[in-house]
Amino acid sequence: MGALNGGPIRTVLADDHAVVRSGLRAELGDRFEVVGEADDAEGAIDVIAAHRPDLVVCDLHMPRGGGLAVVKACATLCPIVILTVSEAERDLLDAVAGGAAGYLLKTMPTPELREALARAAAGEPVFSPSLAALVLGEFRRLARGAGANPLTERERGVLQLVARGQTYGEIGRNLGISPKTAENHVRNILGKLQLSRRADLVRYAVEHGLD
Amino acid sequence: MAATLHDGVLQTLAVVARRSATTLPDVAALARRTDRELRLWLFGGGDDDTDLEAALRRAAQDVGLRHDLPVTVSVVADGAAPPAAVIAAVGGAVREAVTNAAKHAGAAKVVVFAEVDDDGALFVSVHDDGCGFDPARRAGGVGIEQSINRRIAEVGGRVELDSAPGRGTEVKLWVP
Repeated sequence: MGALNGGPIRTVLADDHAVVRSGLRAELGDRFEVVGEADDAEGAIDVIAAHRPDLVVCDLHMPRGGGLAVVKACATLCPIVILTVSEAERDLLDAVAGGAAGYLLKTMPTPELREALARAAAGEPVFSPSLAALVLGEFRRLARGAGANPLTERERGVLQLVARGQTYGEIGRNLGISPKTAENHVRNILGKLQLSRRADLVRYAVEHGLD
Repeated sequence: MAATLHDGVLQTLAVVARRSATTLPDVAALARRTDRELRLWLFGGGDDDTDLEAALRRAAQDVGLRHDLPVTVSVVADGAAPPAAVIAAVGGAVREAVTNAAKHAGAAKVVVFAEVDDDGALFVSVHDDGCGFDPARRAGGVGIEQSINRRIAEVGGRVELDSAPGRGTEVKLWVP
């Protein structure tokens, strides 16, 4: 709400390391207002429900469900950005498939982190190159299993450019499309990842007789 | 146990690096360096010359550490590994491209990406956010570029450079 009329971005921080939360709080600056904090997943879900923030910054590994549980419970309420020390983790794919708005590394320099979080709060998918590479690999595995790649050639191309460290602006210039269109391709790719993961779960349940 | 310990140490280093960036730059540099050394040790693998990802991480992060330059490495490959000679050539080329980004481009970060397609063809990109250059105003290329070209040509590949002033540089390699 605040963010929409030019006020600070009302933010919830969830991380089991107090030093990370206090560090982030100090670094975020005037554009962000930290309205709540949590040190585990269930706490984060409660704080998000109580404050309805503009943005959630959430660690992946936390007690009582981790970032994944927070994403599953709250992704439709506000953008959730996973902030982690890990560069390559299968868990991340589940977080993204569950609806995380972005995934950033804790080693990112402060100005860049602020910028990326502000973009995420505005609804832009923000992904590090290493996550784009993980998603690219995931779709290749899917294609091998199902026989057809669910991505269009253009989407695959956009995803590869994100993995090569290009911004939406650079991708737009390279492909002769607008940055907004490049961003929309990424959004569609994420939608497809969510669908395929859900289909995977259904297939698994059918094959293994679970419900 | 080990995973928890590493997670905690990496968390701490990230906080130290970011919080001291403006006030204590040498402490921040030390934290970044320790972070990368730890990652290299944790995830970089040994000296296995048949593992593309390990070879690229080693190459990129060795240079990154020396020049205090953050390098992200990601590899998309789950088919057959490229031959050891190709991995060695590409590792050497990446090492030189990252060195160039650190020494001459004034880059703040570098992204290394590699993909092996289902036919075994390898594509590698080394992308920096440095000052870039105007390819039209450059005659033939200098030492480092020739050396990248030579390494990749020896294994039957080709090299392309993409750059413009103010827009960084991308070195692209294809083998075969």
